[in-house]
Amino acid sequence: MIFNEMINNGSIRKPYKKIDKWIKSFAENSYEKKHQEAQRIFKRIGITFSVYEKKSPQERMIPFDMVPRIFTSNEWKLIESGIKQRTKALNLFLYDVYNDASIIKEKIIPAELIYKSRAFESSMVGFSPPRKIFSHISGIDVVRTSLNKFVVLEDNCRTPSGVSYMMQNREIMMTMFPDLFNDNSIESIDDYPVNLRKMLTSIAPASCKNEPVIVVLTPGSYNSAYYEHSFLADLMGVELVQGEDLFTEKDKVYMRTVTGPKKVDVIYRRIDDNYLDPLCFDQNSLIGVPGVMNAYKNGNVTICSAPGCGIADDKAIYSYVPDIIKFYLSEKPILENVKTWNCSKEKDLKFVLQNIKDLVVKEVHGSGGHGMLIGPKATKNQIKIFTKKIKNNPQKYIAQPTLDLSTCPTYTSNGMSPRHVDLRPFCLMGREMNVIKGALTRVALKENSLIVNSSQGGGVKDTWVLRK
Amino acid sequence: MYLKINHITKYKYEKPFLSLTQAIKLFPTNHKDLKVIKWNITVKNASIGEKIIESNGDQIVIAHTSKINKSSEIIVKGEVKTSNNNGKISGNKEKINPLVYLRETELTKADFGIKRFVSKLLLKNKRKNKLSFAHSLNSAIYDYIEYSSGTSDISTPAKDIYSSRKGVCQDFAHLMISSAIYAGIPARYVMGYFLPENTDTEATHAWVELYFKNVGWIAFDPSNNSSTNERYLRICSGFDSISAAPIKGVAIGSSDEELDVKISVQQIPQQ
Repeated sequence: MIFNEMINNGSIRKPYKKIDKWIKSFAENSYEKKHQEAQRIFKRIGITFSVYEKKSPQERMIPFDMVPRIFTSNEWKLIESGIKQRTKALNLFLYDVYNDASIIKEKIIPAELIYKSRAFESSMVGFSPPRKIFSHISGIDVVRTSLNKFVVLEDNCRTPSGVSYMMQNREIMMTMFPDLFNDNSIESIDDYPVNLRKMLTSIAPASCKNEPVIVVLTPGSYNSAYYEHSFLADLMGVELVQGEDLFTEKDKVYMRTVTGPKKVDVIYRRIDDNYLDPLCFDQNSLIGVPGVMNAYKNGNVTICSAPGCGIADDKAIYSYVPDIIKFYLSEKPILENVKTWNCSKEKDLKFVLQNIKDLVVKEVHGSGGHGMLIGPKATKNQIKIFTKKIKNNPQKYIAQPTLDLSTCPTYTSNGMSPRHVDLRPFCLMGREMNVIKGALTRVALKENSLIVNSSQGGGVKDTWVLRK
Repeated sequence: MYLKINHITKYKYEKPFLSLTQAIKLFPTNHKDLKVIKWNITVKNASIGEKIIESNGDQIVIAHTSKINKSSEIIVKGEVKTSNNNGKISGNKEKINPLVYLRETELTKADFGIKRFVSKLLLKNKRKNKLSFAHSLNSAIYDYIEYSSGTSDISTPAKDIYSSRKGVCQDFAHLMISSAIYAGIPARYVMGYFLPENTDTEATHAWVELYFKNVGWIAFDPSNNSSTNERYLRICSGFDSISAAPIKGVAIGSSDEELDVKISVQQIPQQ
């Protein structure tokens, strides 16, 4: 039974009552007009993302759906506490695997799973970043499967994107329908850039005595999330830089400015570990900052997020997260995991191959909904190909049951119709921990589709958290 | 044995350019059988940062030179006392779990040929423990590859060396790492200086270290069919020759460079 977030047991759920009236208040065709207007605003602002297809990136717009996704304050309390618990535990895990490795010594997680993974960055072993935090910004993907059940689909501990869409969705809704925000008591999300800046300030190196100089490091305008990089730098009031704008001297990082070099204290980098420092990682990287890792290790600059965070959101580690929470916090996980079979385990592999028709199979290192198989929707041939792939490289795959993702009413060519949604809340961890009271809701626009990824035809919705 | 090292790396450029940032790891490893008497690195016109000890025990500094005028130079001068411990590495302040060194790289990936080579050898040595297997592997590679310079380059992978059967110390090392990993033994690439028996001039050298449970890291030199001894001066290590490169550099705005390296390793009387 698929949970419809607006209509439960034939009646409109309380948080959606006003929105239901609002939808019904549109005269015929006027909704379509407003819908078009919303898409035009998005286009005008210039929010696009690139999809890497056939090797050359293409600019696309993410379709925006005007019907908001709504949470009560109690529902949000549960999500928020679950996200905080998870982010805290994953950071303790990261510090531990790069230092004492007690979780491995206690045999909670097999050593090989960690050490043989490419996401484990061996050059970070023995390093303690400021406040012992590795992953400062997490975007943990959650789905709702019933009235009271939220489960975590995957963790994103490196540099999760999408927060700019969350903010723009709200901005556009407020511009187009200011009355909605007077009628409903909705938590504000405006403070995200301020909180992001506060968090970045709080992780400045101990040696930094003044107000830290913060920069956002982007790979450049060809990156799919470039819009977000410039958007965040702008709202925080910090410089947006590329690798060539920075250099290191005597283990300090400087930014080239018209008035001469300016020392940088915190780098919010939106480039992957591998490209960060050609002297430490991929030697051919042209977008990194040579010497930045030595500056970091000498305590002269902080890199957010720390290199090596990927080991915490590795799909092979995911199934251990409940154990990670128990091990470090002695708590029961507030948000459950999706049951996951690791094909590297013989028993699991056997089960997956026997039941592949009913399962979702994912590549351990894949992302963006690519390289996955949705058993119930796959053709015989697709299943045959995937079976072969799994048999050849079992450690590369995990499998999960297909989930009944909740639906939300969404505007389609046939009027309002339920479509599957997921949720990405954002959590900041510095001196304080905070989860923004809003999130990115992604919606699968095709009927019955479960793939919400923007690169595969997903759209977005404004996400409301109601005040008590 | 007392060894004296003189190592000059000179880069010449066609025209002046903006800046050069280099990562330099040319410091002797801190381990029990290697005592540093003096060691000095100078980089012409550069500002040099603090030395840090990396997770694998390597020591590294970053040198930054702005406005390079046609040439740059790294001079290493040092004296050390070495002793023979049959290849056993102890006292190196490393923190990385050896299982990390079961990872292959583009240069050490085993192909079908290497896998068959190792499988045959494993079968022949099935009654022996991993350490004696490693000694057999060391000799097998020494016998299989003909030492020959100019037939490979810095980016030749182990599988090509296996099929060409020719190469230099770097290639012997890559093939040994590839084989060891396939046999389930953690293995890494080591760069250092070496004093040969017959002559006292030799460039930098490459060998390997393999990890054995309850024993630790043991160094092998497949291009000389031996373990390491007091003639070897260990500098740095990595997954392959690229990750263990003792000098890496990024130049901004540079033109073509010409490299000139002079190295001498000499035995000197006791100080």
